[in-house]
Amino acid sequence: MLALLCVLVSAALSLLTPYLIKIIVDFILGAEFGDAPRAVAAVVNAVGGRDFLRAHLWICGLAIVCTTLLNGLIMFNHGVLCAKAAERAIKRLRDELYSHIQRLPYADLVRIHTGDYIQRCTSDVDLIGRFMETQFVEAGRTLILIIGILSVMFTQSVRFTLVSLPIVPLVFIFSIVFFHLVRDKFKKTDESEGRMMTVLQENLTGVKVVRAFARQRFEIDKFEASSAEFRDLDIGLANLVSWFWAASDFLCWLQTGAVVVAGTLWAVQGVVTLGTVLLFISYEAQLLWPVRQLARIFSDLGRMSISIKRLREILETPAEDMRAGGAKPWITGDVVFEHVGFSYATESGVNTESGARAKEGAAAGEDAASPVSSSPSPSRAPAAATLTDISFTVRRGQTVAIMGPTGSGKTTLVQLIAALYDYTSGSIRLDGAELRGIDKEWLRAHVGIVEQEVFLFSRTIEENIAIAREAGGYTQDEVYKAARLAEVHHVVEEFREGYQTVVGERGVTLSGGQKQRVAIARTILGDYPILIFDDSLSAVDTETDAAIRRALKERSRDVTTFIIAHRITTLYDADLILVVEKGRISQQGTHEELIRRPGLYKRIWDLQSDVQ
Amino acid sequence: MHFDEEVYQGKLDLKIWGRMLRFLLPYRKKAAALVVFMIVGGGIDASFTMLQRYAIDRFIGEKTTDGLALFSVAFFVVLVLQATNMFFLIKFAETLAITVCYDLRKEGFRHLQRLSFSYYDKTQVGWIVSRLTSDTYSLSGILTWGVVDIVWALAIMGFVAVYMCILNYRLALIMLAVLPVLAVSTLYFQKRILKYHREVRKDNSKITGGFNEGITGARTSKVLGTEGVNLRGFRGLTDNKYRSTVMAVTFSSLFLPVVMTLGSVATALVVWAGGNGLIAGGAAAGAAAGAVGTAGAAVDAAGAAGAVVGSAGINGGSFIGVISFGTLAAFLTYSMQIFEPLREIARVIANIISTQASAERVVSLLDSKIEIEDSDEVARVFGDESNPKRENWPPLHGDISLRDVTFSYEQGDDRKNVLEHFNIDIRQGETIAFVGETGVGKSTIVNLVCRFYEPQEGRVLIDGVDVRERSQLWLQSHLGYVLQDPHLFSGTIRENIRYGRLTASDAEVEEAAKVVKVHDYILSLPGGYETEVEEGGSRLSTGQKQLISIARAVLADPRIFVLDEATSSVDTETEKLIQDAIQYIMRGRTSLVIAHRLSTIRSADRILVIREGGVAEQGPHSELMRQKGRYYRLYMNQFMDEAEDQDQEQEKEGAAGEREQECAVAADQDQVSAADFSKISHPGTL
Repeated sequence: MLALLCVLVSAALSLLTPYLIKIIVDFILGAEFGDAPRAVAAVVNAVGGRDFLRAHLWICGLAIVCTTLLNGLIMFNHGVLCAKAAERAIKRLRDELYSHIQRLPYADLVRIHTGDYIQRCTSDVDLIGRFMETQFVEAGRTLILIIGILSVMFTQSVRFTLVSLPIVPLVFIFSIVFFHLVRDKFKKTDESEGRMMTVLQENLTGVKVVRAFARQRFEIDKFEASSAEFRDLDIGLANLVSWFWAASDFLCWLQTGAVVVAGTLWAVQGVVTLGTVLLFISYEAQLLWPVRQLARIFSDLGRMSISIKRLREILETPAEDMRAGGAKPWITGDVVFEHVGFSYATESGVNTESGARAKEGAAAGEDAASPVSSSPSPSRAPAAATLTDISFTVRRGQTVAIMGPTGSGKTTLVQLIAALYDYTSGSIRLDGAELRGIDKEWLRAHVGIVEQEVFLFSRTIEENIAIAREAGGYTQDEVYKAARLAEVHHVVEEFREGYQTVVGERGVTLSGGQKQRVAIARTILGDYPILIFDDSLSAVDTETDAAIRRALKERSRDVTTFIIAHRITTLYDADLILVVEKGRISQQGTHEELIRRPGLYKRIWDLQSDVQ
Repeated sequence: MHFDEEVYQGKLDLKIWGRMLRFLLPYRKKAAALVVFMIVGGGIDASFTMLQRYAIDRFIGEKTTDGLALFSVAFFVVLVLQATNMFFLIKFAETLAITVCYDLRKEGFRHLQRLSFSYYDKTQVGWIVSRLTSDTYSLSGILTWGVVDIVWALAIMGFVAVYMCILNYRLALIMLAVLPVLAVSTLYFQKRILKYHREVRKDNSKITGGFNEGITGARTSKVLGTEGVNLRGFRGLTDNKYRSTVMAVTFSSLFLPVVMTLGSVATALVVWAGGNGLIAGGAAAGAAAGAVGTAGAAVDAAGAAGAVVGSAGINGGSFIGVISFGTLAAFLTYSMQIFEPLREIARVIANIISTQASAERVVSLLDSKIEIEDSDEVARVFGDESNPKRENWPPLHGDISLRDVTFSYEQGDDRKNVLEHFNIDIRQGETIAFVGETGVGKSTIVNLVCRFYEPQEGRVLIDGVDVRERSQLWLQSHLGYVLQDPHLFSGTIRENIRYGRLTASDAEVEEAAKVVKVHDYILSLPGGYETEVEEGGSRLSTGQKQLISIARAVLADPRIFVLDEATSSVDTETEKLIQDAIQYIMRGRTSLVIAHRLSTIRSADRILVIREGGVAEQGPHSELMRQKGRYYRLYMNQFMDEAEDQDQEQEKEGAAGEREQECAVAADQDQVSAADFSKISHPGTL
């Protein structure tokens, strides 16, 4: 509201300065004092009369400086106010997006296109931000200015006003049409630039292939061709733009010319005063250029509404209901599965692709190829597998090993325990409490999972390990202890900056095994009564693997542990071994029991015995 | 996250800009024409006001409309002239900017094609890409538009100053007195504004990084229950952005009012001094002619004013002499017009200073040292990358020897050697499998053979000749390299296979695909051989990509075949195809395999078990198994994994693809980090 007031006052003051000069020229310096409007005359007389002012022209000068200064102050205020309001709104939008994405259900997170989401949260928000911060304000100011100028013009001379206006709308329409027309060209040019960047990027990431096949010459030709294509499109665009500026400048000047000529004519005839002519010329300049800018803002509006739509798609995806059930039972580690079934709900609220993108993809016929491809689309993690009739019982402190072929549902099975997916039939009970009724935040504070694909945050190693405890506080000793248990302490110590090494920055790339061990340390520090290792020792060698498991066992006998693994050595001393095939438990029992029965477990065991 | 290190600099480095200006040299004629356009344009801009003055004095002053028509026509002609000028100006300047940008990119890319692998180890792909895209863009912009804007601004200011002096040099001097103050404050503001904006940009890219991490890591956060911690961290970022933006806006909002106020001082000075002059003129004219009615009333007042001014000691009226209405109007307009170019100049200067960092980065790229370069002698005989003299190339048979080779990826005294006094002899046609923990130097040996690196000590011999006595292109034209992580280029499958031999016919391409048994699969795709491979080949599965990259190597018909075997396996069927294809291509060629697959290892003529700095064991599979040493232990650990591995990998691929680009970067860096941390063994993948 205050900002709006500022805009109004500022616009009025912008108009006042030229008017002041007109008064000075006409009434103080010129001879038409008698014709002056009463208000002006009153002001002049109050200051000391025309003659006094003529003698002390510095007063007039001071008046000009003062109005400008005042205007400046208000402009400053209004600029800061607007920026604050807009920036605060954008900040809120960003925070909301971030927190909403964090709260999306796991099933949706698995399926989103990361790149697409990042693009929406950054470039789309930036676009809206820019619009709100600058263009919106500018458009408002321009509109107010136009109204102000028009009203002053009309009170001065209707005839003159009519001469001053005809080309103005023309400039506006011309600009709007132009900006619309070039949008397609802009898009083509952008795409061409994208292609050029692809060539560059691929050349750099594939530098080994290029050198190994000695294709430098070929690559240079390829890059120069795509770069030249972009250059030519860009030059074509530049041609159009230069046409536009030349033509619209011409129109603007033409309008000014009309004002000068008509003004001169009428001034000679005595219809208007010299001051009025100067006033109109000055107003004309204030009118014409902003109008062009306004047209551009208008044509940007379309882009903005698309961005808003894309963001709303994210925000309208329902977030996970963390409090569902709301029970907070004592969880010690007894886990019972009874005839549990899970099938993946095909309908989900998440919009994985924006409408426009999906259409483009379909138009290019890309989707037709996907059924043939044997791997899942790379930007998505594998969808959860279906599970049927899963039943087993685990006592507190026991270790459960799960093995089975890829896609058989091992991962989904353990994810059910952390309520990352909701089971669709049967019952899962933790210490007798039905899992569905447990508050999810509470539940996840008791179930620790080391994922198959380890994700480390770009913070220091220490912060990464302690992240789950950050809210509750931790000591460095605890971090070291967890790292020692995960057999990663000595590794970290060797880094130049030790635990303060920032993960993912230049120079420090952790190997797969190191990442896994940091993730294990992170989970250990979380102190969960139920621990799940989802094939998380795969990149660690056998001895380290064994050492970690031994250390864990010694540290706490009461932790219920689930281990998904492919190595028999990892599996065989578990209290219970589950063999999962095609979403069902095909065998369960201890190592001793399983090697006596025919089946997958025995086959693999035999393979190894053979070697030994 | 990776931010450009934007160091704020206040000083101009003329050497860098001299270097950059050289890119304008080929277009000096165009640039000269541009300068002419600018000066003409600036002149016309300044002249519009003179036309106005003429109209006021000639017509309004003398109360006549004689010649008004002619004046209109003249005005119109000047208008058309200016519009035409404007058109050519923008067109020329923009074209020049784009062309210079193109040249910069071209030069940069050419240089990149010659830089050694050590450069790529140290430099992130993203960094290079921004050098060749955004930096070259802003540089070419400042090189052309910067110059254009300055010339235009100087032209306008020059013309305005000249016109003002012609009209009334004393009044001109009074007004121009404000100019230096304005210039200094404008420059100060522009510099500060740019600095603040840079901070805003930095905060903004941190937010992008935050989103990047928040979205890719959302699943992990959920599992760990750290949503709250993340959100707090993110709020910190947006808070910073809010603060820096408000700071920047506060400062830039301050700028215009200050400039406007200073400008209005000039206008006020004109009103005061000019007005007095006008009144004095009116008095004189009134006294002399006694005819101009309007001036009559002014006579007394003017006299009084003159007295007052005179007695006050401020000799305003008499100082500037007598001026006309038109002159006063012209001065009023000029007082507002002259500051725009001034602002423009300040903006360009501030911009040049801030773009200097870009210039420095581009220069650092263009000047990076090419570490492996053919000697002049070699280049003369065998040609260079763009102009190979194939007729002088001797045939390559495939005997390879490393003699007393010591190598480190680092330079300097405290470097750690990956290989020390290493020796090996490989006979033509032999298949060697390198086996050992990550980071012990398996790929280093291969890289040395390919001359991707050169050893610090010792020699690499191909067919008994030091590789440095032959051109790089000669050696690399005889290589077939299949990477662990197959890299395909965007384009069709056909184009990708043809990369192995550019002159191959369609039939030959298909023949190669048939050899590696990927032909049927390709035909099963809706587009067949014309199916577009997306960036990085993401449309195809890893296994299929591997097959295509092998077909590409088959087509190249190399003398030395290098295989960096994938650690990850693919589905059983594809795996079988890959094994067959590899067996096929290795036949009759010297083959070096960094092996992870049991079957590949077993079929090798010789297995080299590499440990830090050298060979631990070597010999065929059966012999090494009997020794029950290092190889035996590795073999035992690996076995179980392999049985299971075969169908396990599909699952992993999916998630891995997401971070594909990073991985590509990471892959480049692996060698560095492997060297750095070679003590940290992680032998999980053998």
